[in-house]
Amino acid sequence: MTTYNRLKKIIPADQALANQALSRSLRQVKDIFDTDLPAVAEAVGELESNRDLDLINALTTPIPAVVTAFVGNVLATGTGPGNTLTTNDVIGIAAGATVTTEIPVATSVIQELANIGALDGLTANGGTASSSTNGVYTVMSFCLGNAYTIVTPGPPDTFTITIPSPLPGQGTYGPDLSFGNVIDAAFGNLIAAANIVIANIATTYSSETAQANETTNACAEQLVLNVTNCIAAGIDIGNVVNDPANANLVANSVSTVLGLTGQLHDIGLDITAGGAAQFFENIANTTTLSGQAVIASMREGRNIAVLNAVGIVLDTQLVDVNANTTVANNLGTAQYTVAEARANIII
Amino acid sequence: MSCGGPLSAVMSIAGAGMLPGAGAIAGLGSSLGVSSTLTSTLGSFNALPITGQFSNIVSSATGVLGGGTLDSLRTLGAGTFPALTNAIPGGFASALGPIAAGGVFDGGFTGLISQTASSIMGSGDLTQFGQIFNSSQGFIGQANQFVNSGLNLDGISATFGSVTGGMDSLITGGFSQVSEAFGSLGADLGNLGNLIDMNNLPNLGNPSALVKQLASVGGLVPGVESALRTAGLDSGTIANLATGGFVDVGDSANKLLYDGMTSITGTELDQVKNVLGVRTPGITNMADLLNPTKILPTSFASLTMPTPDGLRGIYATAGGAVNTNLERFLVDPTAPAYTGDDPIVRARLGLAPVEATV
Repeated sequence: MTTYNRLKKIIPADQALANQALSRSLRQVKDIFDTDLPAVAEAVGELESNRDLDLINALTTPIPAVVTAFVGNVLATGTGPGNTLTTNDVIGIAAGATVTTEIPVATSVIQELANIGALDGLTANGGTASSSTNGVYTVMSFCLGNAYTIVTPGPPDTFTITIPSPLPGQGTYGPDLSFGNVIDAAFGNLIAAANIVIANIATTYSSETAQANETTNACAEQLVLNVTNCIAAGIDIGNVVNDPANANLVANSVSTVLGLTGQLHDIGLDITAGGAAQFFENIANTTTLSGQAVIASMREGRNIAVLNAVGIVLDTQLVDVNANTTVANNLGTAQYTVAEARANIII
Repeated sequence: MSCGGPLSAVMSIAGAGMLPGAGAIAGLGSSLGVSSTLTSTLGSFNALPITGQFSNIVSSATGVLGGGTLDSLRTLGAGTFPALTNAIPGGFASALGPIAAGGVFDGGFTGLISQTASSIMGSGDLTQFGQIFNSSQGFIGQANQFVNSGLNLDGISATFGSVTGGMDSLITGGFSQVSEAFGSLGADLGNLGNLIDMNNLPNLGNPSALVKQLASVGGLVPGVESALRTAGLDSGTIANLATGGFVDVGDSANKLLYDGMTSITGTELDQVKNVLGVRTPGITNMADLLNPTKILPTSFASLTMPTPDGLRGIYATAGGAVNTNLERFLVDPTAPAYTGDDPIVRARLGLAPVEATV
């Protein structure tokens, strides 16, 4: 490297300074060492600045904090690297994301509790409506089956529900002209009784309860993630789930399928955790020819990528000979003249 | 990317299985649907005796109990042990409101999961699933651009600011630090052919470097070789320069070489310019090829250099008087660290650390 102190002994000092300064400026350009002068000249001639964009030029940080904060509030946090979003974060529930690993735990816990009789306070059935061993759920079932209902003929008829002691919700409800009133009253007490039983189970079997709750909460979080992101993505998730006819979707849109089919190779390349390939692997119907073809298409896409990397191109990869290369003529210039650039310089 | 090209055989089969009515075609079938693992997982849970018993209770109670009481039944245990009633877990009712108003859903929590999954898959119309999938992918791509911008902020910030020219530098790859008169600078550079070796920028302005570049591009011309001998260089050094190698010939010899270049004019100068491809007007001797005001005649006045104080003009006047204020940044070893040489910045630019300037 030639230093300024040396160079000014070799060529005129002012030229030495200018050359050293220009050298420093040029070396600030990314990868300039890997270029040649003709290529640089061509590129520089077509560059554009932020001329006349006063707000952009006034920025003191690349992305103002207000922008970062606003975006953070609008976009849900994803589960990908750096909180990026994955396919599972938006629609993963259809592929069983989280649920297929978590719900079996809850199933197992409840089965174990049932096996040791821990749930008898809810589910036990003594065989008759008045059996003293009946659990709350059993009493509810008998109640809805009118096992405790007495209809006193009228007119007008009156209704009374009597749940015998020592059953949960024991007591007499009515008489009342409205059956709805008396069964609502009975269920008010039955629900309260059930809450107590459930609370006792949760206390007595706290670790099992925590384990089961962790799994159901995880599933709920997955659902919330999907709902939140679908809404942000403009997917009318409320109507999609509850009223499909009013969702903002077009039924029997063949063009959509054609487009989606053409994406299968690219979908197969997204092999990240929670990504598109994993999603399609889970929703592909492996019992049908077409479902297996979905998986085969993704594998084909990955093969193409591998083969392309070593220079082998498959017959299906054709060049788009109809690509539009005409440049729009209404894109304004954003270059400074020398005089204008000069006017902006600080000495 | 297959867009624009034909579909492969397996893609054609897969796509056919997404078309309306495909499920009824024997030997083809529907290609996509709710995860079978999800369906079986939920089925196992729903098959638990307690789940089935409570599900029947809710079903029987629907239309019998009043709305408030029915909702209390459907949210039973939601806050303590929701799996015992298949209730939507407490605390999620509000967030799930768009698909389960009031925190309740016919079929309970597993029913909500199943219904949501089915709906996302288009409820049997895979063309609707396609629309949902495309929307999701578009959103993911766009959202992640935002997220990644935030992640890259630290690296970007290292190259941003008044020192390097702010957003102009970011969007021009740093060229705005050289000049913002891109059209004129590009035209000037375009007239220089291969005069400057971009891989030898640290020696810009060095006569030996110019000789090296001349030899690399096309070879030495007689006048230049004569100047080298007059400068006192031995045959070995000349031979090395003639083959395109860069040699530190020493300051005294280099000065003599420069002086010799001032005498290379006329036909010999034309030979040099032809070899290098220089078409710049106003070059009267070979030494002019080391003078920025000569080789960048229309843009030199717009040249800038990054300093700790920001971008500063290399020339103080449009007439070509150099900005001597820059000298302290080039010669003073105690001057503030040159921000433009910040290791973080240089690492991002893929450049080796800059050596000391003195």
